[in-house]
Amino acid sequence: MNELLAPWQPTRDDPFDLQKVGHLFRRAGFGTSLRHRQELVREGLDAALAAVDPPSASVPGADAMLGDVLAFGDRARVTAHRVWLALESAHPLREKVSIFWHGHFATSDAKVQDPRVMAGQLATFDRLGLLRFDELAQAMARDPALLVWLDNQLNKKGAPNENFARELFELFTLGRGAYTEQDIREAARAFSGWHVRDGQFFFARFLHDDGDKQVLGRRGALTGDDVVAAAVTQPASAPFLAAKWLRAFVHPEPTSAEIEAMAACYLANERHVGATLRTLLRSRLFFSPRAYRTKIKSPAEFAIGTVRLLGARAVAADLARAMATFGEAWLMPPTVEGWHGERAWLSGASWLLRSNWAAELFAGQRGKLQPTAASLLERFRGPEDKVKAALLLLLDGECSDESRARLLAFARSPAAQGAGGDAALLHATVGLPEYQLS
Amino acid sequence: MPTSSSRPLLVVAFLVGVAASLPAQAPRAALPDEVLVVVEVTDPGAAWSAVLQAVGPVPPDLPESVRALLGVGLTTVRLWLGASPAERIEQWARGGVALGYAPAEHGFEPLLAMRPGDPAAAVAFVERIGGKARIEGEWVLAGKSLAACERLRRRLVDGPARWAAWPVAEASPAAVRVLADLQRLRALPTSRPLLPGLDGGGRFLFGPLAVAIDASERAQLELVGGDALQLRARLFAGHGGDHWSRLSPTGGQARSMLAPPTGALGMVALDRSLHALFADLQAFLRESDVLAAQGFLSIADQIDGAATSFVDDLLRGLKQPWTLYLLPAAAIDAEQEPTAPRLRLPGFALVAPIDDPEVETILRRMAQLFVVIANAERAQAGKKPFVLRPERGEHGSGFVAEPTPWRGPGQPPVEYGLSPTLLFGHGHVVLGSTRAAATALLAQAAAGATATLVGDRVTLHGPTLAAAALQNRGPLVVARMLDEGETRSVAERFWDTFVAVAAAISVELTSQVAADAAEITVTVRRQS
Repeated sequence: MNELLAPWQPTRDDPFDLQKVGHLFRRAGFGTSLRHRQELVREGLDAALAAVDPPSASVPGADAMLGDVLAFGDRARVTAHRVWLALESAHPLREKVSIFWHGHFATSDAKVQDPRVMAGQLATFDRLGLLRFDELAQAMARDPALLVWLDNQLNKKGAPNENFARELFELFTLGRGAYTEQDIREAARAFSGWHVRDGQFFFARFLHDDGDKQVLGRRGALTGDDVVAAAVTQPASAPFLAAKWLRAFVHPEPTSAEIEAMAACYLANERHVGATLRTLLRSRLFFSPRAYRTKIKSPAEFAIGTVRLLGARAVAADLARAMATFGEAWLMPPTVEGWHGERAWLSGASWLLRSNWAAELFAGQRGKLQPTAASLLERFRGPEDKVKAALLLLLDGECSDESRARLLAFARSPAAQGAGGDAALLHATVGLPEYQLS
Repeated sequence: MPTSSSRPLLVVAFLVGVAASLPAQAPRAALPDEVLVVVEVTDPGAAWSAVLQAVGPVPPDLPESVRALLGVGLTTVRLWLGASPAERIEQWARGGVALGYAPAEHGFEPLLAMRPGDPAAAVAFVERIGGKARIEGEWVLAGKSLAACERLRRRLVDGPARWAAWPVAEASPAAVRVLADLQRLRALPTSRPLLPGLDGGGRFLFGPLAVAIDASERAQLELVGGDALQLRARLFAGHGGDHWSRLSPTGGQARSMLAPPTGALGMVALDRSLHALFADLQAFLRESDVLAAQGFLSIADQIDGAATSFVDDLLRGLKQPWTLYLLPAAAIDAEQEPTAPRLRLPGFALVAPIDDPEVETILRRMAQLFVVIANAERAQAGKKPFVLRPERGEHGSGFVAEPTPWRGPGQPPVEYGLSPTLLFGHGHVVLGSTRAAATALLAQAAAGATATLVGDRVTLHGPTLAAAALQNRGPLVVARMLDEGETRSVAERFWDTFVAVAAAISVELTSQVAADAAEITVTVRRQS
């Protein structure tokens, strides 16, 4: 195995500590409470990996709950339900990976206009997101939401619509430069008649072009399935996906060596996403300084993560609204390319929005936050102890000397005294530059 | 000059004199003139018994955890009181109690006068909760400070004045009564008239009442127990008989409405005339709202073509009262279950008597147009149309717009439980959210099932509301989990409590605003 992806082993000099657990749960999930992090430090790396990606885990009654969510038929509740899952899920990696795929196969309900099929697409990510990529890609080629979003309803024999075929190659499997315009034209014919009826995939036989085509080196009466199979087995596919996973889980600018190693791992695991990511998550690369706090938190990581780090319960619908305000409205990605992320997440304005939201959250002005911000720090006495506790809760106890000094100065100031002082201190901690990094 | 040894005797003689000067005075008589709001109970023991009778026993289906919480709460109250509430009421206020609120530097200052059964116990209670109290004959006078007690004592010494002479409309001695000096309250610097703050919808719904509140010199509220728990608010001024009377055209006169069908969840009947509002917008609305209403009219007048006026042809052709009925969702069998929405919305039906037969023609044309517009919008969103078909039933005719059969995965969205229906018959027009709801009301019209109505009335029938909530328990629980941040168990307890309480009560709100008086009554009645 490549050195980069070789299993990381804790040592006396580089132990499995609170920062490592925090890093694992931020990247592979949406964070977890201090108590849980401390437990996992005691139990070790294997236990932490099992906690973030348990062999079998489900929220009791989750399926029935989805039925009840869909009963309302509105997008806001489906979005809130996804946030709720991210808050409550016993399988953090699955939730994180489902949202990764939501950004990858970016589909917007702004055009689909059917939260039920959008929820169905997310359920497909839940079901297949950690299995073989070719299975997921085949499922997405039949996904009603994606077919509507990419105009495949208009794709008919004799009048092919190239939108779906183009995005399949450019955004979902290969990336630019790995296909030709002729491949797109031919692939579009293969997807002709792949339509949606009554919210379900429908093969309109008489609108399908069953003539000979040549796509990505394959020739014959190719169907959509053949095209997907050709795409996911192209040499360009593995590095394309590897780079995306590395950007999502390790570093915003992966090196070619890292991409090569990850692609090889993916192919060695027979295109099994779960196996590939599990290798990554226990690798030396993942626990290296190059990965630690080198990514900017997405709005979801910021909002949901804040609540999870506190071990608190919050209003999922409000978190969903807050995330949308910060620039990440689930079910409503801005374009077919999804969210660009990283530096695009954060600006002076969006930082201010995040900060204001956190102030309101800790002050109890955004619905119930249980336990309250005040109760989290009330047992600590004196500014030093309170700062230490706040940093442990939200930053695994780690920040620059300058940030720590500024926080301590704030904790000693009148603003952090009396009623609301603890909430103000947590707010100040969330406002630190370090906290914006995942 | 009295000697120091004779001083106690003089004090006793003085107190006896004071007490003797207030025989059987209402408790409020002990309050100083500067008090602006009085809460008074002349017979607290009877009031307590009446309230207990009205509240009745704990609903049988209340969740065990809530029942336990209630038990702990009641035990805590009893421990805190050191005796049963009835015993304490007897001790502290057997002969009546009056709590007054007088303007102070920051808000209002409470002043309390009680005729206790045990003055020493009453004083001890007041001091326990941080107040100051003194005994004056049969009275215990209390406030936040000794100065407040002194103000009360001085009132007693000077003899009854403003509040003793305050006109009180007939009320049960067992009532908890609130008397408010609206005239002086309005003179406070922080006071604002209500009407200018109301927007268009607010003025339509509450304009006449706001005018009455802004004009009335006094208000009287009573909470009375007994067979039902009733809160009654009276204002001693009305809308003044000017243009606001056009908005509430029947005033205090009785009129007839269709009786709610059996099993109805509730109804809303308002004595308001949309025609009066739209015919003279400037008389009722603020300038910005007038512009908004005119904008609406500019569109509404074109819906049925330029020859039809929304106000003069449509609204004028409909009589009062317009009544909204809330009806249970239609029953479905097991075979229909997979194609019925999981969320079963109650049906509603809006009913109005028709004055001009031409209205029927206009509404039929408009209904068809609305369905075309709605279907065009649905088509843009990739949704299937509602199919409009004529309806000719036993009691009348009209249109039903029905969704096309559901063939999607899982159960259909909530809109598949709707079948918007417009029916005409027996001098009425009915707009229903479902065919069943509209038909049920037309059947009432056919049967001549009417009820008498005065002013506004809103009724909610708890048991049927509880059944509707129970039918939708799953989605309602999830809504609270997502919208309120509750755990599943807490959300379930909330709805189970709602169902248990709702199943045990019915609620009625009535309101009448006449030219010279206004009255609002809320009645909560236990269901057997």
